[in-house]
This record gives sequence, structure tokens and C-alpha cells, in this order.
Amino acid sequence: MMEVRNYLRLVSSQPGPRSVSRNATDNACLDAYQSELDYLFRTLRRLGVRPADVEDLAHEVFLVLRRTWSEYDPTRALRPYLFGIAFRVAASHRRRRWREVPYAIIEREDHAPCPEQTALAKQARALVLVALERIPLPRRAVLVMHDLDEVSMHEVAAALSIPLFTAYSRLRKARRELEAAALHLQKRSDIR
Amino acid sequence: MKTEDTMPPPLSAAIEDLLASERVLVAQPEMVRARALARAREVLRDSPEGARSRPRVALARGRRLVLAAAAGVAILAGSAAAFQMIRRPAPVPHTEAFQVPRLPAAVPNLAVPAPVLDPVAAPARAQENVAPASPKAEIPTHRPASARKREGGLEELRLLDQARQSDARGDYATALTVVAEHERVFPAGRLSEEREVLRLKALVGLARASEARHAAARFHRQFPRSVLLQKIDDMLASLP
Repeated sequence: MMEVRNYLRLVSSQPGPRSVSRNATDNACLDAYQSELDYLFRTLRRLGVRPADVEDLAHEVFLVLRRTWSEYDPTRALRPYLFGIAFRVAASHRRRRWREVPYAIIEREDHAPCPEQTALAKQARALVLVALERIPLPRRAVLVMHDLDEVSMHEVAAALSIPLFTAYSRLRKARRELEAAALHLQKRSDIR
Repeated sequence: MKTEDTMPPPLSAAIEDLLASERVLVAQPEMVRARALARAREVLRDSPEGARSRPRVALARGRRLVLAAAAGVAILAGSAAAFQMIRRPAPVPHTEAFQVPRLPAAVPNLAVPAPVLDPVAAPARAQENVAPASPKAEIPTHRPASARKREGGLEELRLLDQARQSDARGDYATALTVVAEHERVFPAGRLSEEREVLRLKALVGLARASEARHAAARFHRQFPRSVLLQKIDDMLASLP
């Protein structure tokens, strides 16, 4: 009887095929995370995450990615799938931040393009980020995916788990809001 | 509805230029990348099972679900309690619900005792008939119309039962008195037809032929389709 127990303990302590596959999954997940790290960081910024929180939220995205890696279809592009996770993490973070952070220590950044930024591209990127800030997150996500990441609307709808026509409706409104915000910011920049 | 119809108009050239600059991905500083990857590797090393590294998002979602379920249960319980309180009928005192109004003292020889089935309850019933009504009982209470109607029907039936018993005993005078009382209390009662039959029977029993014929003629006018017409005619035929 004792021998049987020892044998079972020995067998259970050996790394089985499941452990091996888990290691393979972890490695694949880490590789994907590493290859798309720049995209992920930028996406989180586009979704309104503050620079100070981007690293933490990217880590949360990695944790979710690792946990749901088995649901990912490798034949499809990784970025829309990653964007879906980033969108949900950012939305949750936004709710949490509004609930938990007292007003006294809210970081008040000057989102306006800095006049000292001489490089035109840099200024434009900053302006885009500020303009995106003025679009509600659900609509902003559709616009970022379609107009910046150039993802098809079908994939946008699938990644965000919304109907296709809802995605189109959000895109239309988001474009209108983006144009209005960009126009307003450019006028303000010209006045300065 | 086609997809082409829902496609929004294209962006303006200025916005397109802005977005074009944003489409270029800038590489993160090497230190930032190294830090992020080190955290990820640390997670893989520390929690190979993946159990300890569940993100806070998932935990918060689970907590929200539990809270939502608890709130739902509380709302359901509150609604059920409120529904019970609203739908519960007001308690009706038993003594009032089936209390039989006493006959006025002007009616003579009407206190014919009904056959007593329960000797224990009999004294209490007798006391109830004799004792003056309590002040509480005299206060008019608001009762539903159906309850009042049911009580009226019982009283009507009780009076006519007394008249029928008197007729059966041959006490036609008492029967006529009770019938008159019934006519006074319930002039348009539901048992008027039966009352007139009992009246006619009492008049025939007392050999008051002319009154009986008048009563029969009135019955024919009031209830021309009554099933009791044959009985009326039979009683008239028995008159001398």
C-alpha cells in the first residue's frame, strides 16, 4: 500500500503533457506580448490611459492574454484580439479610477499640444491623443481600431462583441466628434 | 439595409493627415520594454498554474456579480413582502360576520326556538339573542358589498324558513306575521316569490278565501312565468 502511494506521489510530481503544453502556451503568449508591446502601449494611450498607468495596465493585459490564450485563433490577426482585451482593461481601469481616486490627487495634465514641441509629427500625435480624449470610450475604440489600426469593421465588431451596425453607428459618431475636437484644438493652438 | 449604406462618410484630408502621423508606431524605450517583459516573465515563473495571477479586473467582475445577485435577491424578497401586505385581506371578526339581527319586539310569538343540535353552544346563542348589542357592535363598520349581500340573503332565508316551519306546524297566524315581517324588511327580496306562496298557504290554512284569492291574483300578475303557479292554483282549488 505504501509503495502504491509513493508511486502515485512520484507520478503526480512528474511534469505531464499538460504541464509541457502550458509551458508552450506561456512561451507563445510571452512572444506575442513582446512583439506587440509597442502597439499595446500606444493603444492604451489612445484609449485614454495616463502615461503613469500604461505599464501596469499593459501587465494586466498580459495576464488576461495568458489566461485566455486558448480562446485565441492563431489564424487570425493578433492585434484586434489584443485590442479587445486592452479596451476592456482600460474601461475597467477608468471605472476603478473614478471610484477610488480622490479628487485632491487627480493628475491634471495639460493635454494641449505644447508650443515647444517643434517637431510637427510629434505635435500632431499629441493633438490626436487629446482629440481622442474627447470621444467617449466605446466610440473611440471603434475609431481607433478602424481608422488607426485599419482593422475591418467585421473584426472590430467581433473584437468588441457588438453588432456590426452598432459598430458603424459608433464609427460615424466618433468621426464627427474627432473632427470637431481636432478643429477646436487647432483653433486654440493657432490662438496661442 | 446594406453595409454600404451604413458606411460613414470619409474623413477630411486634415484629419487623415493627423491620423497618418498617429498610425506610425514609436518604439518604447528599451528600459520600459525590459521592465514590462521582466514583470511578465516573473508572473510565468512565480505562478505556473496561473491561479495567483488573476487580474484585478476579473476579481472585480466576480465581486460585482456577487453583489448584483445579492441585490436581486433582496429586491425580490422586498417585493414579495410588499405584495403580501397589499393583497392580504383585512381580518373580519367572526362575531360580526354572521351575527343575526334581532327581530323587533313588536313581533309577537316569534321566538320559536330552533332545534338545538349543540347543547354546549346553545346557551351562548340564546344569550346572544337576548343580551343587548355591545357598543362595539353598534358602530357601523365598513364591509364589502358582497358580505352585506350574503348576510341579507341569510336573514331572508332564515325568516322564510320560520314561516315555512310555522305553516308546517299549522301555526298559520305566526306564518303570516313572519311573512309580513319579511315583506317589510325585504320588499324586493330575492325570495319574494316563495314568500307569496307561503302567505297564500297560510291564508288558505286560515280559510281566508277572499284574501287568498286576492293574493293568488297578485301572484299571477307579479310572477306570470313562475313554476309555482300550478301550486297556487291547486291551493285555491282546495278552498271551500
